[in-house]
Amino acid sequence: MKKVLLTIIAIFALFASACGGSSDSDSTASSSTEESETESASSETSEETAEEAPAEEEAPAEEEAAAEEEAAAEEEAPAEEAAPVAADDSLPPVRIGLLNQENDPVGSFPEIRLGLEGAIGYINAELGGIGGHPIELVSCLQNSVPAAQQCAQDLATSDLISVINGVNIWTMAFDFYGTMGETPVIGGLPLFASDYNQPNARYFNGGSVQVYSAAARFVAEDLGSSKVAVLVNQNPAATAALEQGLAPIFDAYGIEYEAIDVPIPLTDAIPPVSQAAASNADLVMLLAAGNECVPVIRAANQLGIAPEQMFYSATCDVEEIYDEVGELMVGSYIHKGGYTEREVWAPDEVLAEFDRTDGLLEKYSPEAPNASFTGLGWATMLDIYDLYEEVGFENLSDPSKIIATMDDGTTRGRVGGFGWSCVYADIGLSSLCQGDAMFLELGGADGTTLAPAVIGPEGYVNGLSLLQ
Amino acid sequence: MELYLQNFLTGLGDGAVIAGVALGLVLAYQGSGVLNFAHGAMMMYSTYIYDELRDTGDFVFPISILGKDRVNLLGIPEKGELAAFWPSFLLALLMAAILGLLIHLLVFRPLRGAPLLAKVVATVGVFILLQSLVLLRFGTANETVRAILPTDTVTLFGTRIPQDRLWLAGIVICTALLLTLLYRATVFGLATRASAEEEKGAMLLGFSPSVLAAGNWMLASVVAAVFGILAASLSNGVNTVNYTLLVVPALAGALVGALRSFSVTAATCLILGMFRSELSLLQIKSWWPDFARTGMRDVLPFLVIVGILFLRGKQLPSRANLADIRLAFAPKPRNVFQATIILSSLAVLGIFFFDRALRLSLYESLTSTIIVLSIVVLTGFVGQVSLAQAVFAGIAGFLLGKIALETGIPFPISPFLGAIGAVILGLIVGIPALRIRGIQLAVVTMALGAALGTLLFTNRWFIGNTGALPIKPPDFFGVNLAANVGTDFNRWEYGLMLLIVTVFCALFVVNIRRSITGLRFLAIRANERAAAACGINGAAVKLQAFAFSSFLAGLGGAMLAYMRGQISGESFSVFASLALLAFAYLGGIGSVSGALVAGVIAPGGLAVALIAKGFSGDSIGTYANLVGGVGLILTAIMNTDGIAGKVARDNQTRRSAKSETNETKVLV
Repeated sequence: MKKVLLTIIAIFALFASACGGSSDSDSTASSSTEESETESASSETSEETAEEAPAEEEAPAEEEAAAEEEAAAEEEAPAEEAAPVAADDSLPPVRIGLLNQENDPVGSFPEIRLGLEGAIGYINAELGGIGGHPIELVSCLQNSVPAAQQCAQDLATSDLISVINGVNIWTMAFDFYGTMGETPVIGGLPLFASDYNQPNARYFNGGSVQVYSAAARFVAEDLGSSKVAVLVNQNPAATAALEQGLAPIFDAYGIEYEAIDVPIPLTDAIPPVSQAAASNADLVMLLAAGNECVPVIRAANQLGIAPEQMFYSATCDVEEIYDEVGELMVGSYIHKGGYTEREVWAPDEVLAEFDRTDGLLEKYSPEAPNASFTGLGWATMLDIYDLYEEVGFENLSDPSKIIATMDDGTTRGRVGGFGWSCVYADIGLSSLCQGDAMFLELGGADGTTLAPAVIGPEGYVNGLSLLQ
Repeated sequence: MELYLQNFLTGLGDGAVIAGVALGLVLAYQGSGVLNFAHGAMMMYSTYIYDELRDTGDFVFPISILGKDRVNLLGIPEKGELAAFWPSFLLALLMAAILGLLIHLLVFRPLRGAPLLAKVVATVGVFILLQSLVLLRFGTANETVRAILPTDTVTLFGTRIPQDRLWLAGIVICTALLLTLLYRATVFGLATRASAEEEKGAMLLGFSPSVLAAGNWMLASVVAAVFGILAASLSNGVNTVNYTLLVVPALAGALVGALRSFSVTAATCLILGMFRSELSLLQIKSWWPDFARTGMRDVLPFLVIVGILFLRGKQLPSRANLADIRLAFAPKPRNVFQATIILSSLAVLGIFFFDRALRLSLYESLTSTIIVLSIVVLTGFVGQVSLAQAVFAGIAGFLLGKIALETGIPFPISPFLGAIGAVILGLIVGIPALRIRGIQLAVVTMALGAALGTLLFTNRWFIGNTGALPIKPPDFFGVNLAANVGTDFNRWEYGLMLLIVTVFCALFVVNIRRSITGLRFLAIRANERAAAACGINGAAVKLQAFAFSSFLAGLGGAMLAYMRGQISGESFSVFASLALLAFAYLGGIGSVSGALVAGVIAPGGLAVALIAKGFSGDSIGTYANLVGGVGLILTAIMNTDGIAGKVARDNQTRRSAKSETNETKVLV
C-alpha cells in the first residue's frame, strides 16, 4: 500500500504534463464546436452565403478594402476549411485500445477515458476520422495487478492499431511493455521511470523528468537562483527525474540544491518545509503531488518563507487549491504544461484558438468533469489524430511506421494537444516526446498569472534539450 | 539546533493524528477485545462525511435510500464559501458514533466468541468495505479540508511553531485525561474495565458486555473522527489511503499503553510523532547511510512494537471472552493420492484447454494457493498470525530477480535461493514469536510489513533504478518455461512448471500435517504449556514453522515474479498480506484444500474470472470490492471454518455419526 501511495503521488506529480492539455483541450474542443455550429446551423445559412458571395463579387470595391477583405479571408480560411466532416461509418474503424484504472479504491481515474471518448466523438463527427475511417476506442478497465495483466493481454491480442496507457498504477507490477509486444503504446501518462525508455512506446508528454529538467533550467536561467531546496516525494519516478532531469542542469549551472523528502502519508507539512527554510535557499521548489500543495503552502507561510521564494509544480494549479490558499501564492512561480487558462497575455493566435474551441469538450463529453485528466484524454486523442493523419490510414497497421513518424517529426501541438518531439533517445528517454514546459508568476489569488516577461517569447522552457 | 528542535516540536501534529487512531484502538479493544485494523479507515470515512457536509451541506448516505444517495441538511453554501463548521462537525461526529455502533452490532457483536483470526478477518472486511464506500460515494480524489484550528505561529524555545500543532497536542492530552477519568470515575468506565478483565464477572454484576462494547465502539469512532477532522488541514486533506496507513504507528502507541492506558498511549503517540519528524530530517543528512534514506518513519513504530512486545508481551492483556474460542479446523488429509491425481488432471486440462484469460486466472489461483499454503502452515497449524506473508513472497521475488540478473545463477537454483532468502527473513520475524503470540504477533508482522515495504520495496538500492526489476525467464535444460513469449501468453510450459511446484508445496504441507512435526504444530496451537509439558520445544517448533512458511511464501513469490515478467513492490504490501490472510480464512485456513479454495477465490483467480464472464461492462469492477468486503465479514461471522473447513468438518461429523451408528448396531 505504501508503494501504491508513492505511485499515486507520482501520478499527481505528472499532472504537470496533464494540465497542459487540460484546459487547452477544453478550448480546442470548444472552438471546434463553434465551427460545427456555424457550419451545421442550417442549410438556409449556406444558401444565404451562396447568394451573398456573387453579390460581393459584383459590387465594385476599393483596392484597400479588397486587400483587407482578402487578408481577413486568409485569416479566416483555416476555420472555414475545417468544416465539419463526419467519418464514414461504412469504412473499417481505426481501433485504438485504452488501458485505464477505474473502480479501484486506491485510485480511480475515469476522467481520462471520458476525455478520450469526447475527443473521439469530436474527431469522428467533425474532423472526418482518420482519413475518413472512424476511430473506435477499445477500453479495458483494471483495478488490480491481475486485472491489469489480463487487460494488457486482451489488448495485445485484439488487433489494435495502438494502445493508450491511461492512468495505471499497476502496470509497474508486470512486464507491461513486453506484454504489448508488437502493439505500440502511443499516448497516455508515463508515470514510472520504466515508461521513459521503451522501444514500443511513445508519449506526448514527458513525465516528471520533463518537468524537473525544464524547471531546473527556468530556475537557473530565468530566476538566477544559486541555492535551491526541492521538496519532493521520494518515489522511484521522482528520484529518477531528480537524478536524470534536475541534478545535471543544476550541476552544470553550479546551483547547490537539497532534495527534501515529503513523506507519504504527509501528516504534517511543517517538518519538510522547515528543513527547506533552514537550508537558506533562494528558492523552495515543491515538486510533489497535488495533495501536498495546501499543507506545504500553509507551512511555508507559517514559517515565514516569502511567496516569491516558492515555486510550485502544476499539481498546485487547481481551483480548489486557489480557493484555500490562493492569497498565500501570489508572487510565487508555478509550472504549467501549457495554456491551461485563457491567459490575458497569451499570444493572439492562442486566444483565437481558445475562442474557436470554446465548449467542444462539454458538447462531446458532457459527463466528463472539469479535471486535468479529462484534458489529458482529450489532448492525447487530438495528438493521435494528428499523428495518424500524418502516418496515413494505409500505414497504420505497421507499428514501426507509427513510431518512425513520431521519431522523425517535431510537431508543436495545437492548443488542445501536446504535439511531439521525440528527440531524447540519446539521453535514455526515447519514449518521451515532450520537453517543453511553461513557468509563470502568479499575479492573483485566483490563479491568474503575469505575462512571462522573464521567459522567452513563446513562454516555454525546455530542459531536456540541455541534457542532450 | 533550532531546526532540530523545530522539527521535533512540530512532530506533535503527526503524533496527534496517530493518537486519534490509537486512542480509538484502545477503546475498541477494552470494549470488545477487537484490535481494529480498520480504525484508520473509520477515521477516513468520518472525515469524508464532514468534508462533504461543509462543501455542499449534503449528508451522504452510505447506500442509496429510495434512489437518493444524499440529503441536504445545511443548505447550499455560496460559491467559494463553506457550510457552518459546528453543525457540520457535530453531524459528522454523530455519524461517526452511528458508524461505530453499526460496526459493533453488525460485525463484532456476532463475533464475540469467535477466534481471534475471525476478528482480524472481519476488520479487514470492514477496511475494504469502507474504502469501497468512499470510492462509490465520494470518489478517490484527495479532498482538501479547510483549517479549523488557529494557524498562526508562536515562538517556543526560540523557534517558530504553528499554533495548531500545540492545540492538537493539547486536545490529545485532554482527550486522554477525559477518557482516563471516564474509565476510572464512571460506572460505564469501571464496568468496561471489569468486562475487559472478566466478562462473566461483569455480567454477574448486571452489566451487559454488549452494551458496554457498543458504547466503546461509538466513542472510539468519535475520537478518531475528531482528530481526523481537526488534523486534516495539517496533512494533505483526506483520501482513501492516507489515514488508513496510520494504524501501524497507532498500534505502536496503543501497545506501549498496554492497550489499556489512555494517557500512556497518547504520550507515546506524541513522542512517536516527534521522533518520526526528527527522523525525516536526519535521513536527508549527508552522513546518514544511503540504504536507510527512505522509510525510517515506518521503521521506528516497528522497532517500538517489537521492543515492547518482546520485553513485556506476556504482560499485555488478552481479553477473556465469555464464549469458548474454537480453533480453526485442521483435519488430517484424506484421499491424498486420489485428490492429487484428480485435481492435477483438472489443472492440466485447464492449462491445455482453457482460453488465454482463464489460463491466466488459473495461474493466478495456483500462485495464490502456494502463498496461502504458507499461511496454512503458520496460522492454521501453529496458530501464529502473520501479516507479513506477502513481504516474504516479495523478498524472494526480488532476490530471484537480482540473483538471476547479477550472478546469472539459473533456474531452478535462483528461485530456490530466493525462497531461502525469505526463510532467513522468516526466522528473524519468528524470533519475537518465541515470546509473543496471537494478535500481538499479528501487530509485529504488520509493522514489519509496513517497514520493509518502505525500507526495501521503495529503495532504489534494492529494487533498481526504475522501481521495477525485470525477471529473467526460467529455462530448464533448454526448455523455455517463460509464462509469455511474444503474444503467446500464459504458456503451457510455464503452467506445467507452476502446477508441479504447487503440487510439491501442497504435498509438502500434507506431509507436515501427517507427520509428527504436524502434531507438534497442532499441540503448540492448542496449548503451548501443555505441549511443553509433553516435551515439545515450543521455540524450535515455532521457528520451524516460520521457516517452512516463509519458504512456501518465497516459492509463491518466485512463481509470481516469473508470471509477471517484472516485479515491483506494489504486489507485496502489508495490505496484500491482510488480503491473503482474509482469503486463506475464507477458504479454510487449517487445510490444504482450504488453500486451494482460497487460491480459486483470490483476486484474479478462477472464481473471479468465471463470475466476470457472467457480467457485462464494468459492473463487477464497480462493486467487486464492496461485495468482497461484505463477503469477508459474513464469512467471519457465519462460517469460522472457512469453505473447505466447513465441508471437512461436516464430513467428519457425518463419518462419526455413521461409525457411531454402526457401533450401536453392532452392540445391539
